[in-house]
Amino acid sequence: MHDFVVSEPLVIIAQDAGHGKVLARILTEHGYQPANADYGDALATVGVVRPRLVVLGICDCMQGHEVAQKIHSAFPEVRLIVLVPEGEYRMGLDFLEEGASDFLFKPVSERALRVALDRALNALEVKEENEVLKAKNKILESSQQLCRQLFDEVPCYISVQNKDRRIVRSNRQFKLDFGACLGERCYEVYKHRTHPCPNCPVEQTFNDGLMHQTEEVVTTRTGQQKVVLTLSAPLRDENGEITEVMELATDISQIRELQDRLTSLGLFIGSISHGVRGMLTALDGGLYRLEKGIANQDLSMAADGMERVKVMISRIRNSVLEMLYYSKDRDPNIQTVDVQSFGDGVANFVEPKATKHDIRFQKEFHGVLGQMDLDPETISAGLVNILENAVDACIEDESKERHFVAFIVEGTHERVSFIIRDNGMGIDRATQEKMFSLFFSSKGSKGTGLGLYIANDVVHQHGGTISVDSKVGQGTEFRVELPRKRVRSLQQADGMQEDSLHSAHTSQV
Amino acid sequence: MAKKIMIIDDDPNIVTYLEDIFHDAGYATCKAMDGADALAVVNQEKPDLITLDLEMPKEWGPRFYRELSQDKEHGSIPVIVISGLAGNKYAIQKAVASFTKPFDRAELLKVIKETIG
Repeated sequence: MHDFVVSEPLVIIAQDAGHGKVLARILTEHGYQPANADYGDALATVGVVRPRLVVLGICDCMQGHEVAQKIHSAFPEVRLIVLVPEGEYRMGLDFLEEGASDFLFKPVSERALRVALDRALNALEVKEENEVLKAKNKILESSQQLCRQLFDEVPCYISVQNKDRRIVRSNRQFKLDFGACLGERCYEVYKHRTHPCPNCPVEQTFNDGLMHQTEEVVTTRTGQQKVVLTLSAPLRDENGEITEVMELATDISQIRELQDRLTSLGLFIGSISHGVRGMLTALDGGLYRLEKGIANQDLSMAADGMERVKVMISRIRNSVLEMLYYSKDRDPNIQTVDVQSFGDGVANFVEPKATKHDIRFQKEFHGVLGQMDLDPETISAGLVNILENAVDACIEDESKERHFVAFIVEGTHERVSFIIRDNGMGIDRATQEKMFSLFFSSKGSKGTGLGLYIANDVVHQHGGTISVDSKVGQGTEFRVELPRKRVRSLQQADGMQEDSLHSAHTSQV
Repeated sequence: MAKKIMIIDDDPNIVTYLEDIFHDAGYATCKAMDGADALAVVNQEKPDLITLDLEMPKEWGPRFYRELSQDKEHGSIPVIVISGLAGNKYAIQKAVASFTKPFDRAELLKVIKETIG
């Protein structure tokens, strides 16, 4: 206890100076630094010494109360031990009621004084500690709140996962787009998968304790697809063991889309340049015939030249339109068309190419045909693209003697399906997974990598779906389903939402 | 007898165009629509000059040229490259000339005249 009170300043207030000095000597021996004062200079002395403890000897009760009150009001933190005349139990209680921390009867024993002072000091220490703890608690609370706020308000998806890949914590943004999901597995929530993703960054972080990064496509609970950049970081316990891993996913869909558009435009121009050069040369050829026909008054030659010029101009036009499609968002030009004649028109585009390569071209119409709403230019371009791919798949396939391409139009009151079936070379799984993505081509320099991307894009713009079923060596079936009436109000009400709903239907390949 | 030019190109419109201008310049022509059939046509038609496209679906121009140049009988037939590929002059260095589509008609005919008369 001595160590505890070393150099503890203290003020002894006594009317009897001799008595005060005796007390001072005793207390000095116990390691206190006492200062003596009488009632007159009591307050001033306490003000100078600023002790935690004051011993007040009472001779005159009235004066004693006055001094005690003054000290309490000026220095409420000070612990006051009052020495009252022997037997004055009631007086002692009065002082306690006024705020003294203890009272002792005079003549006071050395031991009693020491114990009382130690107890008062202890109580003070506890009180001070308590206050420090309170202050710390307050800081802790506010920093917890700050952490929570940071965790919740970061415009990213944060999930904390355990070794089972189960989500044990998630932030507000995550809950908003993916639901509470506590206890569910990351890959179930993000990707609706039944097993972990290949190259899972969380698993890698559990294994090596390092940060890992991947780019993923995730699907929110409303079916919106988002491209996210995920970063994983280890969370360790006090022994340094990784118990959980934090995964932070940033939505980069818009950046990706923009990047894709820019890249596609650049690459597209590069890739079509070869084709455009061919078309321009063929245009020269048509003009040559036209001029020669006119010069020689040979009308049939002029007409043939004219026909060639027309064909080439239309091809160049299509290429330029494809390019424009990518350089800028365009609104679909919705018209009401007759399903049968629209289908015929699409088939007529491709039939000559199939026939030329000795491929049987089959055209079938089933069910309710009637009329439907669509942008004839983009949808026919999309369908022609798929049909031309089907013809190409047959040309490339050398395993069969006879090939066919079937174009089947099936209508119900609500929807119209365009089915393109061929017995060509088929599409392998890897290609199927990538075929709708921007600038993917399996045709080398002949393909721009835009055809199916455009097809997919315009079909989704119409609120429709494209699905593919294919077996390598056996053939492929594309199914394009479009609503008979396009739901336009949705898009106008909320463009983003519309996009997301479309994405939800993305290629069930 | 008219000199014969063989046209190798997968685009029928361009073949027609070349046929037109060669006929009008007094040459005979023969054609192959891709590199794979071309050697057989060369053997049969024995052309005096070949115009060669580089990018064709079945066999790519430079490979045809390699086979042609190894052929004892026809290896020395002059070849003019007419292609839509930029930088095509590097593809076949022994070619008499390289033209990038769309090409200059007069220039092409001039080079042919200088080569085979």
